[in-house]
Amino acid sequence: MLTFSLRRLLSIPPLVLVVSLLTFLLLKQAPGDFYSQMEADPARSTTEVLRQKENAGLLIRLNRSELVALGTFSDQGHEWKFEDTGEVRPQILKDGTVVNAKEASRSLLKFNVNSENYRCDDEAVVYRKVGAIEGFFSWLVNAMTLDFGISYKFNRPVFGIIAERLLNTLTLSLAALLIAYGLGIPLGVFAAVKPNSRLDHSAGIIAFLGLSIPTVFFALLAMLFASYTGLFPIGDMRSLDYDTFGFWGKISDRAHHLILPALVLGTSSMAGYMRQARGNMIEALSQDYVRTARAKGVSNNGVLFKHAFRNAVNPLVTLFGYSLASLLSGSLLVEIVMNWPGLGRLIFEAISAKDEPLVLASVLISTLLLVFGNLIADLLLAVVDPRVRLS
Amino acid sequence: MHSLFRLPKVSCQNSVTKILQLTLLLLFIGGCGQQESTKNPQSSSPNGVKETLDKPVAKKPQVRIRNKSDKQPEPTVDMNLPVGTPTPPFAGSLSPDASVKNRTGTYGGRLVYAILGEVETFNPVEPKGATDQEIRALAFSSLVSYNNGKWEAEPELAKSWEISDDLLTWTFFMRDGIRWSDGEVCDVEDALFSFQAIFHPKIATSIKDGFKHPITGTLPKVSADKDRNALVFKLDRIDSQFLTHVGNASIIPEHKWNTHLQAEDPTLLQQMTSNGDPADLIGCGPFILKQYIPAEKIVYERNPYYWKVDARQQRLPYLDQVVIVLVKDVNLHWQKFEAGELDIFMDLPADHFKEALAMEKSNAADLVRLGVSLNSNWVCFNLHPGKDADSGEPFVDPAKSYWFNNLKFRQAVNHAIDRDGIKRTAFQGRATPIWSSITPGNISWYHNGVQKYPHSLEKAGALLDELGWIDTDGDGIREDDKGRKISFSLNTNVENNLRQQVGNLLSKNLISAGLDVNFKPIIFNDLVTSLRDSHKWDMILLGWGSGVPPDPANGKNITLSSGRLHAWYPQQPEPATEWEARVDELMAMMDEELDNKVRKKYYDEVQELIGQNIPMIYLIAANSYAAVQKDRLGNLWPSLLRPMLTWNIETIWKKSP
Repeated sequence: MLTFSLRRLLSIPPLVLVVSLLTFLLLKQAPGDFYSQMEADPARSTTEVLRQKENAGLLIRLNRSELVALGTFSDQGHEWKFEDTGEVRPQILKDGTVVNAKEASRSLLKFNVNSENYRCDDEAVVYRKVGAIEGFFSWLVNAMTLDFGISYKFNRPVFGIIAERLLNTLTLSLAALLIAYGLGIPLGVFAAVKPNSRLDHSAGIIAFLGLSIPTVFFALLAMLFASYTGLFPIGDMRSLDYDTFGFWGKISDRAHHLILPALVLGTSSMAGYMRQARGNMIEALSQDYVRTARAKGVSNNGVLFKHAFRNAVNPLVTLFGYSLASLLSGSLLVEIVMNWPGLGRLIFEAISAKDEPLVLASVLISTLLLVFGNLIADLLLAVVDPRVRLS
Repeated sequence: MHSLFRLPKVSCQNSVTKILQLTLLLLFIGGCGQQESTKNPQSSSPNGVKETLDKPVAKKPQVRIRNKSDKQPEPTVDMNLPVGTPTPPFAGSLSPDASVKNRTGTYGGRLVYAILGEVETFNPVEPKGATDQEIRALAFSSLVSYNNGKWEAEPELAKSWEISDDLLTWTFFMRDGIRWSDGEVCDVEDALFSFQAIFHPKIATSIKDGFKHPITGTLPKVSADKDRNALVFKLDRIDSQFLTHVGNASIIPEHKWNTHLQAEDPTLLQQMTSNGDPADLIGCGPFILKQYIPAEKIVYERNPYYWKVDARQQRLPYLDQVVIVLVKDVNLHWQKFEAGELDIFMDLPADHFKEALAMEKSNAADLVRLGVSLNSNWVCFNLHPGKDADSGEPFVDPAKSYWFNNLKFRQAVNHAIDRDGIKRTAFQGRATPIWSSITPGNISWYHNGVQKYPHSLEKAGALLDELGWIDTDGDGIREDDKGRKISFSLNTNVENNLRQQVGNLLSKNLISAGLDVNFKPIIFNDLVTSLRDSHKWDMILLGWGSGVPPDPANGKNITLSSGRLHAWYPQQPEPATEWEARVDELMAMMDEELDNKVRKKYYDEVQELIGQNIPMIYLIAANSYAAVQKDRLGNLWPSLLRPMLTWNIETIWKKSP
């Protein structure tokens, strides 16, 4: 089992590398970047937009010698040249005559030299655009030293931001998982024990409802229910006066807020587990060893839980591994509709705003969770099923 | 004018949820019968909806400046109100120079409202978006502030100011005896320090850009006159917007930050941004940041040293606390208001107008009618004459360029657009047709003399016929005089539902005029990229937002021919046409003129030039609304200018704390 785990662990770095490279390239492939919104704002000067891009590492400012090294280049039918005359800024020559920064920047906002892209701001400060691959490698080098960059939006290290939200999302997903497994498996098992009974049918109806109602719709229903009846808070993770409550007050306040989102999230996945458990159980119960056990005179509960259930549970363990991976991202829609301050919401915003460092970090975390979730599921499987040997 | 394409706040998510909600309501009504639905606090009962629907109005093009009901009166004074007890109490002695507000109110209570999205930074030196700037105003003050109720600048930390005869020296006299929220004295040293920080060559902040000389990029010289407790600016040009720029600069405490303003690599910005510790945000604003929980809430508490008093010499602010709830979803935002969790709702979206009206009818809330929004919607043709540097291909297809650059064609398109139809269908009548970037809501800058192009398909047809662009093959689409079918595409951003509706109506209008338009909404970033970089687009539909103060000088990036957002042909090496050169000239003249009457005359001409040459076709401006819970807040003075209800937050009081 140890070698198996080691082998799995060793496969993580290349996987992470490929996933982050793909994420990076996909982000670069889509049009615009985080600063597109800023560029579309008339109140922002080009100087500022480019400076922000420089801070974000999307552009690199050229120093004097690099400017001079550009040599003579042509843009829009004019010849341009930067010359070092010992002044504070290099002199700009347009077709051989000196022009001031304002005039130069008017024409030179964007130009190409030797297939590199350059941008020039309102004061003729020139920046070079960082290419996708180059950007990825500089990110990678920093990531090696555990520096995953600073969020463009929040101007803070990404993991600090993620950590703030991580616990909230985990609370919600674990509660949902608890509901899904805690209700789904027993219901499935009982339904299987008495197939076509009233319990089986009603469980089936619940399952199909859970499977067929989209989570968003269900969440909206729940919010309408909350605002209609006043029994539950309308969204949020805790009330505004949370800090004034005592210890138990805080706990009950949190629980009160947790019920609806956890139910919404839990019931939709519960249905899947229930059907899975029922199917497996029915299959296990029809096996020869069950008949043998019954013939041996094993008690009904013994047959069910010692023989049938242990065999039926394997696929559920595998599913559990996947559900670990979706712990962080699975609650996205519920988080948005019910205003849960979780990670899904953060990642969604980061992706739509193209906040690259934040997206990369969160993709990294999700990948790791998926890998570890699978590893845990495999290990668990070996524990519960003696037929599985890991080597 | 100024600021932002209207941010795509309404995401696709919301359209889905909207539909779902509707379906749900139908289910609900179908299931519960009528007596249930009348009790429904969602107040969307079938009866209610019918009664509250706005009747389709106005067939003639009409321009409405402001209804009587739009005029927001200044709050009145009632000397008999109970005073109440402030918790936390005030501290320190009152400054003899304290600013006096002619208001009365009762201490106590908290104001709760929500904002969509997330605060990016509390840093007063480098605020990012509009929301950040509004939130910053709770905890920080500037020398000068803007009175959104009166639409004029007024003294804040500076009790007065004077300008030298050559208009180049500005002197701001600071109030004496004002204290920071930690009790230290705030004086001209702090003001000087703040401007040194903003003007520091190594500190990157957008506030600096406004002060720069437009050509040389030099900054004003700032010095402190300690004898007169005054801050003196020496400018190297006349700057009509100087007060606005000064108002943008928050004053920060020198005693707190002076070690972080090193000559080389100052750490000021990082220090103020990275650690979100409330104790670090010492300011002179009415409130201090007490708690910030990302994605949940921001709590502000009374600044015990605040330096304004009311008509009864009671110190301000009245509110003990201000709580800002951070919400992601528009519908949830509304539900929270409807359930009474929020006291006010600013920027009411069209989707929830009927619900707000129902709340007003049932006396649960007041619907505040603010008048015509300052945000304009427009369409624009690509007039870029340039070529792609790599491929050598022109950005715009020569045939299209030939049509778009024809003034008669643009006039015909303008006549073909049925603004009143758009108003009725997309806005349910709650909008006003516009002919310039300055909407009738902008009482300071609106100009009624801009050329109008009333809806008339006959006129549009006649103009096109005159050009010889007629439908020769009988397919309903006109061909130009060279026999090319007139067909082009119209784009807008897919995130904005309302704008998509407008786009659909617009393309129908143009098709009925015999122009083949393919309407295709695309994602916002895509749109900006093609507008800014690739220049490969035919016609786009977008909008401008507006800033405070609503001065056209803020829109230079759009109006100047060198502007980045001079949408039809951005960043021209030199003005492409004579009238664009004249616009540049007029904008420069506006910069150097301090008399707003003269400035308005200049800008009227700019508006007329744009109206005559129609590089942009301005369409419509929605009406603006806000909602307030009934009888909860005193001294509200709603304004069209953001933040509509909270700009005078130091004098707002809670009636039932």
